[in-house]
Amino acid sequence: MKYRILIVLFLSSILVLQGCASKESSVNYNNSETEIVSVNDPLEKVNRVVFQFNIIFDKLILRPIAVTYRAIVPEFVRNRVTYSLNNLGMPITAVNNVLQGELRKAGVSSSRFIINSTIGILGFFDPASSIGLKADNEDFGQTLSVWGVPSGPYLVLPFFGPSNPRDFTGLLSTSLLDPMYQIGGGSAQDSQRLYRLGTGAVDFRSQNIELFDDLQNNSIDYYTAVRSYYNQNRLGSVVNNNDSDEELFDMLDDFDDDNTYIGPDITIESAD
Amino acid sequence: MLKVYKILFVNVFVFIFSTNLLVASSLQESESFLYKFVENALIILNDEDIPSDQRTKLLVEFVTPVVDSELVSKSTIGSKKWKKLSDEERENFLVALKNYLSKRVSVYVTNYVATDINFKIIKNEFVGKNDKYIKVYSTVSGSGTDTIGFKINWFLSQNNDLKIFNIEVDDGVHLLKILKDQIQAVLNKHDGDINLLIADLAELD
Repeated sequence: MKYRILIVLFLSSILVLQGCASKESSVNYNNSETEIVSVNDPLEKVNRVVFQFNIIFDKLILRPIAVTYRAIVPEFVRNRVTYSLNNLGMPITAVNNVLQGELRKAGVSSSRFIINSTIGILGFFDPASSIGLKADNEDFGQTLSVWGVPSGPYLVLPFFGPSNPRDFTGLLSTSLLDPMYQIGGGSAQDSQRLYRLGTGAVDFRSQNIELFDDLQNNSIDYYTAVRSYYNQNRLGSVVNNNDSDEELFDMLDDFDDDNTYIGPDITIESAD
Repeated sequence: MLKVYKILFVNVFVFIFSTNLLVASSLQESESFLYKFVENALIILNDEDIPSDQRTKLLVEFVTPVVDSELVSKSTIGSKKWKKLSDEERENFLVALKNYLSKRVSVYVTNYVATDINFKIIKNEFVGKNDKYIKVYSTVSGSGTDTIGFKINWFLSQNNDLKIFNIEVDDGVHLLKILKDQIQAVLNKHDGDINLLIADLAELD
């Protein structure tokens, strides 16, 4: 157990250094005419290759399993799986709530876990939400973000998809410190880890079949669309929701004084 | 003198009352606008007499006027680039993006608006500089008790009519921002050539 904590601390320290270094290596789309869009993706070429690999893996393995799962398993049972997986994430959420200084939220997460694991029959049902105890899953990557650790450059991991050094460290820490993985030992731990990862992946994929298909078929640039979605989603999970709105309004406010465009349906009469 | 005060008081009262009424009516309008949007989409989707290819065409015709394509075009291309485009280039880009957006929104509507959905508006508020836009918070879930719902926030512009220009999902993911990032990436790939971007958009059409 001790060496696992050491690995996490070691990875965290690498992450901090990487995060600092990555500030230097961010890429700017800066043509003379196009807008400057700062994207921290210095490994884009490698990332795109891994991204393509993940697409093939998804097409050949994950998507067919998800489609079959949705076709043969009734919605009622699928919902039980989703609730149960959410419930299993609650102890980790509670720990991260504490690490983020959110003691009230930690209380809610712990209560949710206790109520749903008992009254909710091992988390298959969600009576906690019915009595107003609602909580989003939190991971160690979000905690690192709250502590001010920069995300570092965008990464695409084989099988796991979009990430960055901070979230990757969070993923490893979650995997190593999750009390659910401590049940059993040796190969039992590994099989439990694989089982949970696999179930989680199929559950997530089955809920997003149309979304992914649509994104893949109709995106102007699928890689960029996924990167943008991931970055916004991770940012949104740690900042106040209004902050993401402000960024949106900045995009629109640029045009406040621009009256140069006359739309195709508008005619303008000469002043002369 | 008292008469002057009375007139002044009445005027101020009428002004405040009418302003509040206007604000309330805009927000109410936004609610009924979205409810009507979902309701009309359901009518098209549920009409079994309409052949599927005809249904897509009807959806595109229905969606096109409610999307603020001009605002989307300008904000995704960016002010710097927009100012340098000729009127013809702007119009071509606007038309290409309009077609692309209508198709995309129609696909979303077809995929996510099912016959048994429960669409509920939670609240709405004015947002942005000078309260220029309206943000409507809503949830979408199945009509049964055992369904997993999700949140969707709608951003509406209110120039002459209410129009949708952005949808926010997953608490902080703005579809307009995703589109802008893609447009900028493709423009960068083509060294800023708008005609190549328009060609790419047409290919997806």
